[in-house]
Amino acid sequence: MANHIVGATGRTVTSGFLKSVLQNGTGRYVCQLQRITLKFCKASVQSRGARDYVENHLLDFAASNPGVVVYVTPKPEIHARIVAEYLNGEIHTLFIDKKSAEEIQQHVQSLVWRSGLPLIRLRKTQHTENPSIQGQWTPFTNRPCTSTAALEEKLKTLSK
Amino acid sequence: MASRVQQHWLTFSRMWLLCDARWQPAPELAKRICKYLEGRHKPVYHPLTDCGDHVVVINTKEVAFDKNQWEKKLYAVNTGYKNTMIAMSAKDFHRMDPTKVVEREVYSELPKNLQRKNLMTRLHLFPDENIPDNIKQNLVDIIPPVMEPPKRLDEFTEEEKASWPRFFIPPADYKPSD
Amino acid sequence: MFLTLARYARSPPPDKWWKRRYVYNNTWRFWGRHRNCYKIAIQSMQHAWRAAKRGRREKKRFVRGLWIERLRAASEEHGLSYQHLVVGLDMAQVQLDRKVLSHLAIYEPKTFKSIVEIARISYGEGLMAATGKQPEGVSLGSCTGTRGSFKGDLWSYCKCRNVRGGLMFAVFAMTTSPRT
Repeated sequence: MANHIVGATGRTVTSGFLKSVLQNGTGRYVCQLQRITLKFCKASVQSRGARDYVENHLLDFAASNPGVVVYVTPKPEIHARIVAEYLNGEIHTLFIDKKSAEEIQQHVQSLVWRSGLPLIRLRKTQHTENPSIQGQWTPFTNRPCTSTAALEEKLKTLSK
Repeated sequence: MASRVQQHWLTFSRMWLLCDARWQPAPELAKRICKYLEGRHKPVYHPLTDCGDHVVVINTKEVAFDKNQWEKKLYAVNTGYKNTMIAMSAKDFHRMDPTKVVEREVYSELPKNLQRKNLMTRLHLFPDENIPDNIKQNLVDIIPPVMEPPKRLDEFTEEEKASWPRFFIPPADYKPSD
Repeated sequence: MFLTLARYARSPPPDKWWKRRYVYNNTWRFWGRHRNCYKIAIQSMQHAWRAAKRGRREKKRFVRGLWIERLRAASEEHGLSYQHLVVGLDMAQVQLDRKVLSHLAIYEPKTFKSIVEIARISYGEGLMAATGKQPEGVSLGSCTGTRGSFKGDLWSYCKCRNVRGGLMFAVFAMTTSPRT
């Protein structure tokens, strides 16, 4: 799967928070996937699903996604792969050896929906730019900014 | 509303709190002071966040111990020469420096990590009621006392003495035996 | 299948390179020979996995303790102890957990203040019901939730939740001053 992150423990994986590209989708949505290249072998058994996908599904995909440029490059004796290029310059490669046409279709759809940001371990599953509506807690929310009445009284008894 | 940066500075602003040690039990007082030094009284508390407050303790020479702890309790004191750690009773230790007992109690009560010495720098101890003006002008609030100091008989007014509940009212001709 | 001895002898060994590649993928951030030398790397990888598994469990414990610590601070700021806050909210059938409550205490302090008021009223109401007095102020005990026998007083609350200490207290309170 494309979302696999290599690493044993938390420290070996880069971590971060949820982000979106320029608040994409709050107003209008711009597909971040720009170019998709399908590389496969014409003869090998491993690429059978890729060939099947090109024959049956690829034209429908290109028709329904006019914003995405599709290249098909058959090469002999190659591991079948999808190379997806995004608007921010990121390139993701996805190997599709021994996968059926339906599986490849799902993978391509997930590539279309992605933002192109690097895959990282998420520390939180939710994120907001404005965490507080009423204003964050401060030491002065439940107490006057100047000295309290108790302190005034105490200082008065001390000065006697 | 304040900006994000201003909000951050406001949330983690340091407070100066006054604490009166007069007739307060030293271990319990130290426990309470530690809570404020570490910032455990704030909802934003985190052990790795430096969110503690300054604590100004006055009247440390009038701090209290229960039972015979003044004689029984021992503090390890270095005399300044090599290999001369001696055990000094709390009474002698207090007589040497009236702020030392509270300081040592708080120090032993704080978590034993690298932050301990940084937190101790925010503890200001004064043996009597006199606070320097540069510290006094920072004070914002008081720490509630661990226990209310009891009043002496000569501090009660005549009305209070008269209205004090009594178990029995002696007759007019009552004479105590000796 | 190794049907003959000749084929068994000719069969290649398992691919050592990929086996080691997997380990080095997991140890690339380690220090010194712990990332390069296979024998040390696999030991440190297994050690890291054990620590990570332990940490996943300890993290939950630590975070829950932190929520409780923060809630104690936040509720004592409004003059209510943590125990009274939790029990009072439970009696009022407010099903906010500690995570949400501590988050509210930091980011929405006014909301949290009113939640503390709910807990205070509800807890006091339960005490008053147990001691036979009529509640004053806002009545929160009249709501009927999924807990059928809970009617808003401490007695039925203890019966519902099987609170042993509270039950003893309720029994004591009712025997000393029976409800009129």
